[in-house]
Amino acid sequence: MIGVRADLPRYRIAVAELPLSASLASHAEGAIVVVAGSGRWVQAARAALAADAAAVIVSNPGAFMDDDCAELLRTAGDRPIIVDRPLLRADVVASAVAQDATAHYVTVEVAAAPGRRDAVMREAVGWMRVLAGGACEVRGVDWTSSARLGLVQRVDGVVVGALTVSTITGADEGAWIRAVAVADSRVEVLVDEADARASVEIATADGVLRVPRRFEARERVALRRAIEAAGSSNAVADLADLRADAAIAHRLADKQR
Amino acid sequence: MPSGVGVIGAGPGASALHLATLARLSDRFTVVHVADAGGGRAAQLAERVGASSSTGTGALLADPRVEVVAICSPPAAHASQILAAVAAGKRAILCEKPIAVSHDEAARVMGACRDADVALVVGTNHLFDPAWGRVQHQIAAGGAPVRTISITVALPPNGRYHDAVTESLPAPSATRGAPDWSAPAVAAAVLRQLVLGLAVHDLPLVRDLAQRFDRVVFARPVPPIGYIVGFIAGDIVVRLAAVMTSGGADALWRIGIATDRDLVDIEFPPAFVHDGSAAVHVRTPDGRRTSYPVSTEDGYLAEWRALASILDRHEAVEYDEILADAEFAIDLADAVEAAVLAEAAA
Repeated sequence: MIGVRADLPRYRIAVAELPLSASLASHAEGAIVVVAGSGRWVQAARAALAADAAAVIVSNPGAFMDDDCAELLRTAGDRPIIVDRPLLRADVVASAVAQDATAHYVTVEVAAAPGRRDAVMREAVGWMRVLAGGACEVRGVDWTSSARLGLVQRVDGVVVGALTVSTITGADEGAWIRAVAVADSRVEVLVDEADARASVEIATADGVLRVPRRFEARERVALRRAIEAAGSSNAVADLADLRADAAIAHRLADKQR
Repeated sequence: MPSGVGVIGAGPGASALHLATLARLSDRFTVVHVADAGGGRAAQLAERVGASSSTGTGALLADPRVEVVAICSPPAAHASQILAAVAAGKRAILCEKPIAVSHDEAARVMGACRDADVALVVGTNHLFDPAWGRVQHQIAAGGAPVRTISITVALPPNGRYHDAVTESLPAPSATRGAPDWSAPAVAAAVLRQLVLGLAVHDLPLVRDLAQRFDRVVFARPVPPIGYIVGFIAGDIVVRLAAVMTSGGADALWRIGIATDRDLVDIEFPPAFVHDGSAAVHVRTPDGRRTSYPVSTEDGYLAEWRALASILDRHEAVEYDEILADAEFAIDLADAVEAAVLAEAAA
């Protein structure tokens, strides 16, 4: 049983849904501290670690300064920082990477309302990284009045991918991401906020398998991961991945060809 | 009385595609002659349908029963065979895409066809697919500009689809040898061929929406054989990705179109098969989804029916459109080739 200091109602529910593993705590010391990803979340996370938190969960992180994030990583040391990304859920990622095949190519398409375009693009870059099988870099970028196009490849050059980003105007029921990794088997991830869910389909010679729908709340997934990470010596790469994805998204959003 | 068709080429494009398609249109067309370059397969195909066979194009073009010439040979031969057919006085041609691999060829072919009033249809089956008309209507009705076009293609070996529509003669295993992608000149040349041989399926559709080609942003080979290409066409971002896999999952051939308002997917059936039109799905900004019904008519049947309509004087040949489509594809192919070479030199 580990204490969880959480102000966000959905995380307090997650604690209630893990009654044998977690309980609400009023202090940070030795506890998992949940930090809302809005505003100055990096500073909030550092404060929690300074107060001897055992682990930190960052819920739906917004924009951040990379230098601040690097400092946060140094402050954390061995203590895990779990990043809860609604469009890049860890359990959906696990389903998508279950096919252990190197992709011939990866494509990611994104559509989002103009005000959310860059934030959603960062999560789409995350899907590119996941399906490409490792860290990526931008090799080309261009744009039109309301769309962007990027060539992204795994840093070892083995897997190449492309990302297209467009904006939707009018009534916005949420962002949409489709990521496809093509090998002899094919993985297709569809994240559609209008559905409030993500789907993973794996096509092989035997047909198409649709991974079962996830009924667990993403906050509970993040909390389980934090509990597990706090009790083990396994490193968690969430924050490093977030920084890498943000750096690529920034490059794609930057109007320099 | 069905029109007599002479088929130039005896590969899968003839045996599994056009012969199988024409069998469905036997009230309008009948194959009377098959010619190949000397491999001997023409005789075998001709025997199946009770047609004559020959080597080269001379005998076929001299055959008075041949009213319609179907050109199913490798792309580099298309232009010269069109010109030969026109010179032989043939008045109807269905040519597999592309009609030409250079601007000069394209201009000469279209000039000859126009001057002789030849009924010309290019086998751009995706353009003729009834689903494309629905998509154009959907986009027009939505009234929002197109922003991105994303074409995603994954093709296992064609054998499984040939087997769905014909019985193939024993042949040496058709393994796909990968080019030497490390050689820039090879990579550039192969990508150019892939644009004109594979991407060309969809480029007339892209041109329908984009009108003009501006610049290539990137062009990369995808091993074992494929490409990933990004380009700007007017105010539209276009991304092409295709690869020939060694097996596994069924073919994926999807065009995703994002307008300011809607996300439209067109999912084409695999090549060769007759499984109806492409499927069309639309997601609107309010989260609603619409799926259009699939029609029994496919693009292969539709392109032959289009030729019949021209022969019957119900439709006119769109010479300017055919030429513009060819030039669009050649412009892109040239730019892709140049981009590969430029990146290698950088």
